[in-house]
Amino acid sequence: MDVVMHSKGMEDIFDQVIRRVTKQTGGISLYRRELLPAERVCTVFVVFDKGFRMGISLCAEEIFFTRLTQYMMQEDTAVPQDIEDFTKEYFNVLCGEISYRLFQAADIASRFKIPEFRYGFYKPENYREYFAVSYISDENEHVRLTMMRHENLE
Amino acid sequence: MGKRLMVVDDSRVVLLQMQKLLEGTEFEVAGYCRDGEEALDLYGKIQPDIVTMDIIMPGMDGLETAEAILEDDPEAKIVMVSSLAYDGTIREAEGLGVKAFVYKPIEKSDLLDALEKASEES
Repeated sequence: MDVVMHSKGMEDIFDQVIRRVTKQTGGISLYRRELLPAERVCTVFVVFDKGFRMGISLCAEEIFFTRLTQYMMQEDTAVPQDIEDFTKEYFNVLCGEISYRLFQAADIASRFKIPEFRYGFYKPENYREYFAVSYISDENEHVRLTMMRHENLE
Repeated sequence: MGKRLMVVDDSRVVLLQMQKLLEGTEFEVAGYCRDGEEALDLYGKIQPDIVTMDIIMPGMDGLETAEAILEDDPEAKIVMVSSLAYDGTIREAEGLGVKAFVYKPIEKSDLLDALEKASEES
């Protein structure tokens, strides 16, 4: 990561942040569960271009992102463009807070690029999974947050 | 008379949030742009009272854009709105002459405090 933190320490940060931000921003509670998202999924991800050489991705069932968007919009319906735009903004907030917590722990300032959104599973080229935390939501949707390392660091 | 805002953010979600949060207040969104280049152009055209500026944007980032606006108009009142809450980023923004900083997710009270602070500074 230039590994300056043990993966367990980082995992704890990711876990605390995703549960807090998802509840605060999206009104959704998450519970740790070792399951992979199985139904129709979407992936939102960022790569960092300063500080940590890593990427973060969130893969979850499409219905999870739909529900998140409806809550953020305070509307009963959401069209695909809304889901993409609101998901990216939610993820921006999530990654901003992760960055800040990592900065507090490791004193390394980082910055990430604009989030990208894809239908289906997606992993950016040249990145490998370093660790992942998996959840089930309060409505049984599967969510997986993955931290990836750039392959050049291997 | 209400105070006119120009919102600079590549996410339309932030524009929608701002419009909703500012309903019924003395602040209104008078212009919106998605990147720094657009912001430089629109600033000159609409002469807003306050600019809210994201940091992470395609092309010029928010700090570069704020710096460019302030070079042209040292009296410009800019409030940074970002998910990046580092002391270093805040110090850098303040060093440029930015008036206030609001962290995402945006809370109404924080936003209004920042806009009022920016309005009062001369």
